[in-house]
Amino acid sequence: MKIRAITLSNVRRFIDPVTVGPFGDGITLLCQPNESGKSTLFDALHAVFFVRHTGFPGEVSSLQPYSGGKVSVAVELEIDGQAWRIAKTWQKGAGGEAGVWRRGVLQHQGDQADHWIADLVAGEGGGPSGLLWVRQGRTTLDAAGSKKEAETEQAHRRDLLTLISGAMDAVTGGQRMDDALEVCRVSLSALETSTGRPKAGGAWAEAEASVDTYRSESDRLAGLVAGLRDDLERRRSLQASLTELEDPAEVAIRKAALKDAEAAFANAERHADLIESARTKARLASQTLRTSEEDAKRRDALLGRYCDASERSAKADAAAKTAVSHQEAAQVEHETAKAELAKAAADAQKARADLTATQRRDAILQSASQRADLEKRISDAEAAEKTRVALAAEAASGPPAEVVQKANAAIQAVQAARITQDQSAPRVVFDYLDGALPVSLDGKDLVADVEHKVPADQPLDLPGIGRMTVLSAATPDANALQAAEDALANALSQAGVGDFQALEIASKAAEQARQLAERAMAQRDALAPDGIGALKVRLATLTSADAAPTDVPDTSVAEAALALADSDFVKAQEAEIARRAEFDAMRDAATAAKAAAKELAGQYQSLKAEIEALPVQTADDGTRHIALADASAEATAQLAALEDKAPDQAALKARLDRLRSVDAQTTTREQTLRLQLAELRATIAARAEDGVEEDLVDMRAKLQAAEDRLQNIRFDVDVWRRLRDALEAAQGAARDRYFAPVAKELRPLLEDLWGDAELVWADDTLLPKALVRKGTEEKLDILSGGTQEQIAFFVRLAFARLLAKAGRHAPLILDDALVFSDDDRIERMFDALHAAADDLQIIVLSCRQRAFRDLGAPEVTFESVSAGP
Amino acid sequence: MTAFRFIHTSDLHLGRPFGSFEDADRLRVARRQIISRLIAAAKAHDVTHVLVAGDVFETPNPAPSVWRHAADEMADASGISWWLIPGNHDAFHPREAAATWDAIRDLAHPNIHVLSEAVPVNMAPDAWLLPAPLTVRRPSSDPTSWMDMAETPAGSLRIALAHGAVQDFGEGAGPSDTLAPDRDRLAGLDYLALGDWHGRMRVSDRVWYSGTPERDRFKHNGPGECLLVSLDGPGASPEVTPLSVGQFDWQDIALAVVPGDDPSALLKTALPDAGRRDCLVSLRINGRLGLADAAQLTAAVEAIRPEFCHFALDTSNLSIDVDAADLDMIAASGALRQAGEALARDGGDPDLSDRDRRIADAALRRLHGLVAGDGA
Repeated sequence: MKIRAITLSNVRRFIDPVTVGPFGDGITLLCQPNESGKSTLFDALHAVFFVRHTGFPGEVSSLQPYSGGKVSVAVELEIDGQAWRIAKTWQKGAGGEAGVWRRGVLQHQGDQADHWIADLVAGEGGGPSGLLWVRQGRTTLDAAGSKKEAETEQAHRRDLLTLISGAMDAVTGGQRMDDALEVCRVSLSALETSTGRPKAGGAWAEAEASVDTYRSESDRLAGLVAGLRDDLERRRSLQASLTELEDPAEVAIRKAALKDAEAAFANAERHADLIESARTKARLASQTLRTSEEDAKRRDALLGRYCDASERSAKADAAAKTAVSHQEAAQVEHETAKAELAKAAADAQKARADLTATQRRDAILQSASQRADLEKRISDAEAAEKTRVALAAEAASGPPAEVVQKANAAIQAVQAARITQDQSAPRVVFDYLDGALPVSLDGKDLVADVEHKVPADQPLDLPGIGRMTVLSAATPDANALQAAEDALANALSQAGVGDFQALEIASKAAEQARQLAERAMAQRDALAPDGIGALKVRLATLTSADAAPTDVPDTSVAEAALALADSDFVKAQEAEIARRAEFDAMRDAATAAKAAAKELAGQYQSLKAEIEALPVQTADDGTRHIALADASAEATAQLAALEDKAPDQAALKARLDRLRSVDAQTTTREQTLRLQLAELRATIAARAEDGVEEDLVDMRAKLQAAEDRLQNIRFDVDVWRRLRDALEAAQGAARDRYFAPVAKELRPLLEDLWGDAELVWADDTLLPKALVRKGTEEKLDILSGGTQEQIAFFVRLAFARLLAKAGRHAPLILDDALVFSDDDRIERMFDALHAAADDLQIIVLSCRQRAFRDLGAPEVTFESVSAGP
Repeated sequence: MTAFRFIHTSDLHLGRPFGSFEDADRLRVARRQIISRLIAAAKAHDVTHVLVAGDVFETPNPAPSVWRHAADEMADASGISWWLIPGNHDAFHPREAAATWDAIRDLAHPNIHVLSEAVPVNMAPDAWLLPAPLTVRRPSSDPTSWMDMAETPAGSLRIALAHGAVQDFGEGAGPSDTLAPDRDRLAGLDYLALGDWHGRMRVSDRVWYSGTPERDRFKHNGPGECLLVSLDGPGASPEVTPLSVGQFDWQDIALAVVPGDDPSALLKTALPDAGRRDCLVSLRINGRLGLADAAQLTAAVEAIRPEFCHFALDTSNLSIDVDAADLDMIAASGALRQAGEALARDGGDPDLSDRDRRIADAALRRLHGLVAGDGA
């Protein structure tokens, strides 16, 4: 397909029809100043190919001039060597028109025309359409900061770098695809987890939870309703039972039977009383007879036992007396043993006291010995202390140390000054003439050639001449000597001595006294380390030998006496224990013997009294016994007669008990039934009050609604998934189908401009993200606007070449492209355009008249024409 | 004899909850007002008897507030006698509603007659009522069969009251628990007032279902009614006049569409213009529509939905016809176009399950909604 001419009518500034053309096979340039209508031509061309004639979308609305009216665009085409014309009009509210003509003959109109045009430009297999577009790019890709601005920049970058509103978007779906996928993903992420499970807090999870809740609540209410129905049934059953129990006829029968049973049982009880009376009488007669017989037998037996008891009592008395005598003998022996034990104890106690006295005496003697030693140490220590005090006083009376020290320093200074003065005295040497008289000093002749010291202010006698005084220059040494001598005199004065030697003697004497005082103190401390007072305190605790007793034996004698006494005491103690045991045994035996004698004597006396109490036997005893036997027989006969006529009291009692039980149970059951009925009524009323049946109906309706909603949400999730999968699959297929071939086509174009260069594509956005030149990768964001623009241009051109190779010659339309390219680069871009123009029709729209003068392409302009297709 | 007139109604279903509806409170309130509307209708037509043919209550043991209020309101209308029979929802059975009916009877309101036994009742001079109360939820035999042998004084009206489905007229015997539709003829009835069917239905001149006075489901369109029945005398044909007493209009609408239909116009024709606030709609769209038209239909429904008390849209039986223009609206070419075409193919693929086809259709509609007209 090739575009040959374009006609606009009532399109923005072109109220009157204008046409642009003819467009040749290769490059055609429409170079006009800004605001001359290039972009209008570009937009109109896009509308006629891509916007249906029905409706009045924003893209068409933007083409309409302010005066309104019908927007018309027509394009002359050449397809496979034949001339075609397509034209569309849009009119707001009134609908539009579309038509396709071949060689002036209308081929399609309306929707058919739209479809024909869509097929003409539709990309094969979802690829780029049959028209390719490049529009003016932006100068910068720097994101402005905010996320929204960054996204806007990315959208612009897509426009810039990927075929502006055209092929790349067509291939990938562009921003619309991204938006649709984003909506799918966001919608799904609100509903499901990454593993496809309902997401907590999402509508799906909430719907699932609602169904579970309603189902659980519905089951619970169904249980309550079933319970209510059961209670109602039970209430009916209980009410029937109660009614039956309360039936008056039944009650009367029950009461009459009970009354009869009670009367029969009362009669039986009376007869039983008669029998019991007869039985008592018979038993009494029999007992009287038996008593008479037993009395006779008992008298005989009693006499035998009386004789036996008399004999045994006498024997017991004798045994008791013997035991008492034995007890008394044992008691005497025991008393003796106790006396011996007391004596042994006293002896042992005395021996122990004696030993204690001897031990106390020994301790006193030892203490007295220690006391003598201590008294000597105190005496020595006190002597040493006395010496120390005297010497210390002597040492203290010597010259003070600082005065001695000052005198020493002064004497040394005097000596030093004198030496200095002596050394500085003037010296003379004479060399006498022969015959000259020698010079004398202080009367002494001074020999020649010898150095003589001349004391200060002492004159020399020069015979024949007179006297000569050698004056020495005044020196500080003379003052120093005087000062030293004054200091010495002061120190000696303080020390109270006349000269330094005396001071030295006094100082040495004081030092010697001090050393002796220290020695005395050491001696004192050795004798009394804790002080003399401590020794005296200790001395006070020691006893003197005067306190020791003198009338005690030796210690060894006392110890032997104690051992013997202790042994005797032990023996006496053992003897006393043995005698006491014998006495206790004898006493117990005597007590037992006396008790046995007493008991047997009591038995004897008792039997004796019993015998004496027996009635005296008479001759009528036989007759009386016969009478008693007759009376007993008669009573027995009367009892037998009554027993023969007795009713079955046990059976009557059992019947009465049964009927009473029935009566009591009936009453209890009535009460229980009433209670149960009351409870049931309360339960039923409470459930009815709660409206559980209505709640159940309501809950089932809610459950059904929740289940329906859950189904809808599951369906909704599946729809989102299906849409997402379809979009991702289509996008992936587009990527596989186009981007590798485009990159391959792009490589030689990039190399022409930059040598070894290649574009890097982002997997997620399908946008170029970096340019690699000579092995160095540069992010697109940091490239210059011109470089970015050139990349966009090449990408577009690569698509065009790809399509051309596939036999689809799609016109390439450039609107104000390459505005940022410098002169050198733009010429190389022109070269690339011309190279591509062998296979492509390229329409260039530009305002850069000077820059595009070197494009070397034929130019076209807007020409006014008559309106009409 | 002056004409004997009464109101015939049934299926009040008092206490019915509507928890699954957003406007449940309004629906419940309307149901509570049924008694007062029936009273108003009776007074407006100077009628002193109201016959209720079963299902007075929704559940056998409604909350006391429900049955007490109903009984008190009936009792307050002292000039009107209420003749009530238990239906399948409130059968007179110990496990069902016997306790409720007993409780109402214990109130001893003289103008409320709970008819729990199948015996003739003298409801007015020369007018006898033959009730067929349900004592079980599902009776095993025709509860009106006893009426054939029931004796009433000669020259008096024989009016019957029953609840259940009439026998159908198909081949073979109907189920034993259905009512004989010619019971009027068999039992010499002047009128058989039936309940159970929630819409008004004339079975014969003398046999009518009154329908519920307040609709509660989408089965019967229009507001609820009761019947004003007038009997000139024994053997005379009854004069039956429907009286509209319901508040809410339940509309079950099935809309058949074909490609090319204008969905908005169809919708406008199918839906009522007035009273939408008290109207509940269940709209089922059947047939086929183009993608854009389906979207337009959905948008139109969403736009008017708030005007109605309730509006449910079911498009599960709506198939989408996708043409090139629809796909062009998504994208003329490229991946979006490919995705649209894949979904369109799946939507019409007979090898896929019905659900998968519907999912593909819905996904396509959604894609259309997301991207159509957005720069395609």
